Amino acid sequence: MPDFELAVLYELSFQEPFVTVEELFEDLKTKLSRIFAARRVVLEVAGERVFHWGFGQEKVLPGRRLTSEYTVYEKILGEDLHMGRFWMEKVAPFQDCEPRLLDIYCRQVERTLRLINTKQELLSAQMRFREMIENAPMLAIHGFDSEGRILFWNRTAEKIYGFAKEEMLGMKVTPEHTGYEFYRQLQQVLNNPPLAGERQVLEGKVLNRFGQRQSVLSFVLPVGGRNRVDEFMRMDVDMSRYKLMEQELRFTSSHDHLTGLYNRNFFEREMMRLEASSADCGGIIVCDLDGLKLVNDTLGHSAGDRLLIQVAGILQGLFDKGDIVARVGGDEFAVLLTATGSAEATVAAERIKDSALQHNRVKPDLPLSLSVGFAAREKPHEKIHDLFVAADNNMSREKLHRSQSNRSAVVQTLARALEARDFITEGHADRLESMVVALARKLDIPEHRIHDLRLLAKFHDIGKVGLKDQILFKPDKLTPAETLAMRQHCAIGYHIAQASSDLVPIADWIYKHHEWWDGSGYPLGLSGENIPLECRILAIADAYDAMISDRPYRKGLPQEKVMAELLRCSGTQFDPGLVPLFLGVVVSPPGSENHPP
Amino acid sequence: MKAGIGISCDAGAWQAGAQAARAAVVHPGTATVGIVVGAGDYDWAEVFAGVRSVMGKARLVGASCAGFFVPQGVFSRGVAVLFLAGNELVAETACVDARYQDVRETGRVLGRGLLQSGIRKGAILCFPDSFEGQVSQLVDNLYDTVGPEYVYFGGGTGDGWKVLDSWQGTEKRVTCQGAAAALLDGRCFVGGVAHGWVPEGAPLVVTRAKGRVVFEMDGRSAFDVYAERLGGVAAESFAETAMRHPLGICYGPQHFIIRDPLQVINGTAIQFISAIPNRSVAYIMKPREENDLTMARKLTEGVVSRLKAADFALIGYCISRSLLMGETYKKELFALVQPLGTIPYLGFLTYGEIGSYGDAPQFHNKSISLLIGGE
Repeated sequence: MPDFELAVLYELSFQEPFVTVEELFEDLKTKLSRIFAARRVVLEVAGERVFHWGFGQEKVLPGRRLTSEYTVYEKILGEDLHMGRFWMEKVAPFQDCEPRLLDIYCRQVERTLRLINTKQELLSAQMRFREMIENAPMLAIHGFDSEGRILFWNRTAEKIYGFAKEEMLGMKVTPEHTGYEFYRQLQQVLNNPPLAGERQVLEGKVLNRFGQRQSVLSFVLPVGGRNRVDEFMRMDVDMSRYKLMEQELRFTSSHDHLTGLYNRNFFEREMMRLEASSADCGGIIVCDLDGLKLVNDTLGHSAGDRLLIQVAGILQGLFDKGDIVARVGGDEFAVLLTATGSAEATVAAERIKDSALQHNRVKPDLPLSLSVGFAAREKPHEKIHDLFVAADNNMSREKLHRSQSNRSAVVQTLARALEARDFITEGHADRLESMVVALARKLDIPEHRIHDLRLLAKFHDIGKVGLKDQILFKPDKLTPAETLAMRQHCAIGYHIAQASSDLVPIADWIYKHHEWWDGSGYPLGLSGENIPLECRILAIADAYDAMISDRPYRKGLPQEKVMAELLRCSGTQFDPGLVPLFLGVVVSPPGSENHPP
Repeated sequence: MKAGIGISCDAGAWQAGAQAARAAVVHPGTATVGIVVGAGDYDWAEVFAGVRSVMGKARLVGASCAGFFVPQGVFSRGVAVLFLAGNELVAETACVDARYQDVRETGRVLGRGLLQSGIRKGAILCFPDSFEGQVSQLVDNLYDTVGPEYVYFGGGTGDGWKVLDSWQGTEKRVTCQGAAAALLDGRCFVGGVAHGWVPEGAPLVVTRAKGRVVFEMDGRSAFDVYAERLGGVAAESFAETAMRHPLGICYGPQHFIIRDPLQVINGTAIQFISAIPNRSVAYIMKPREENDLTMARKLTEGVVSRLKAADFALIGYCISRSLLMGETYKKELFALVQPLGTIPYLGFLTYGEIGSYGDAPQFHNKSISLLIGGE
């Protein structure tokens, strides 16, 4: 055949722009079987993938040495780069030109492999980029041309704007389709487009198709190379969450977390601002919540927090939005009165006290007690900070004046809380009081100490307000851990008593009222006369009343048994000298006048 | 080994199959393989059933065709059976129905089916549907699956001149528009293919082709180039003129794979019977000589000479040769079979031929494919 070599050269020199090695091999094997009568062909790529033809069921693995009894052509492709290997077998010997033609062909194959590689890398990069753009969270990306036609629209754009990709792609933006605002924003860019290499940054709100506004930070970039800008890309960062966080942060930085009132920082800044702007300020009121520490220590911080919230509610309800109501300390509140006169300040202070009283009438179980001080601006140039100091001083004076009754009120409140909680002690305190007084008189104890004994009878178990219900009301035997917790009520009661001037004298007795004569009591293990007499008296009366009184889970014991028990424990739990006296003075046959109620 | 040929022109399908088989069987009960071809509107399942009723457990393979030729003559209707028997002869068959829409997978399935026998050399007979001109891909994948240790033979099948349906079958099943194949071993097999066309004029380049449609040659409209080469032809008469001037795709320095042009498309492209490789070098072909019958004779003589003794022959003869040559084609058939002497042969009119110039098979048009088994 004439011009065979030329014809083959043409065929071998041309390579289609194959995208994959599979396509290349398909063409390669067809060409080689036709042009060179190839019997078997192998193309190995990068030592990893092997393409073969004519091997039937024989496995051809990468790197495997191939043997043949026929004519073979083999070439390492891209020697420097270890691109792969080409192997071809035919039956007849090679004609003169064939090896040379195959050399030329292999160069073409190398070139094609490199191109395929580059294309695949480009494709991968494109895909990665496309995926990135398509799925960028919090980044709405859309592209448009100089006519306002949408070229791409990613998922976040769908979320932010409310339009699906299918609705937007290829569409020229009109007010009817997307709403006027989106159209206007797009036109804004087209009327003043960024130049090549520039970008526009905008911050504002966008309106979606459902009428919701979202805060975004937008970047508009030109696309299309240096000399030709006919496409634009807009990227909107959804700032809504950040705006919300910013708002929350602003709120948190100026407000008290618990009560929602302004905090001290804000209050002081406002004072400075008013001072600097010479704005009107009618006066300042300062309030202090009395006994908060006692409540926190005895009833828990949640009870204390409730009180604070109640105070905040009272104050907020009494003043206008123009006045600044703030929590300026742990238990301290302040009100900055704007544009009121001194008379109004006085009235406002009284209103606070009245509101507190009104509150206590409605919620007597946990009454609040407020000490209020105020300072009105008499002179126009009076410094606001001085007003605050004056109001604070006034408040402190009031607090001092009220302290005695404040604390008493708190202690009474605690006793009521304990009684309300522990129904088994209903009447118990009164009975105890009469029994201990009777025995004390028998012992010729002075009257002032009898007064303290009365207090002891009433408040010896005050520490139980700090115990959990499941321990306090557990009918079964307490576990060792629960017993330990229960015994803490002595110490708790001691601290409570220390906080009240009325109860300070009996604090030590409260602490030791569970000691035993023989030293096996708690919390200190005192014995004999080291235990205060008042504690020894109370112990007998307390045990007597506990045994003889009914409980939810048992009836009270008969008097004879109680007496027998007291005698039995005389010398161990009880003072052996006091038990007979107690029995003689307090216990009478049924029906007698002296029988305890 | 024993071989026999039987035919029947009975109108009944089953009867035709049974009669042809009975006539072919040399020694009853010893058949190993039966190759069945037939022309006419038969129920091919019945035809195969009829053959099976006579040949028992023998492997069967075959298909429908436009006509067949045997020592008894040339037939445009009827059933022919080539019977092969011998202890040394082993065979396996496979048949794939039209479920396999992908023609490459069809080739692979066919190959895997044949390999189940464990036979690792011999001859592969393949009878595929035209698959809209994609038989090359079937043959390529069959070869890739089975390997180069076989001699390949076969031809595209049809239901006659209408070319609407084709039937293929084995002893296991009969299918329509599918492919059937058999693998034989136990004898020596040689094959050959020839066409008798020679290049005319300078080579041209298929600059743009897809499948069996060529859009451009030498960078210009394919029809324009082809028509110019033929001295000016109108699109309406192109098919008739081009029948005598097929395209020859270069195969090595000495051979061509012939492609029959079918029709002009949109006034610029040319659709061929089978696929044309893109960017290939080709020639417009012409007959070596008018009424030259030497090619056919030399083909057979050349193949026979490679054996010590021949037992049987199978011939695939392109139907377009018969159309082109008119009644003269029978003379070519005679020249083709004459060197076989008394060796039983079965030839059939094919829609493309499967044969090899080297080891790997190709799908040819307007050619003759030959397989001879013997010693």
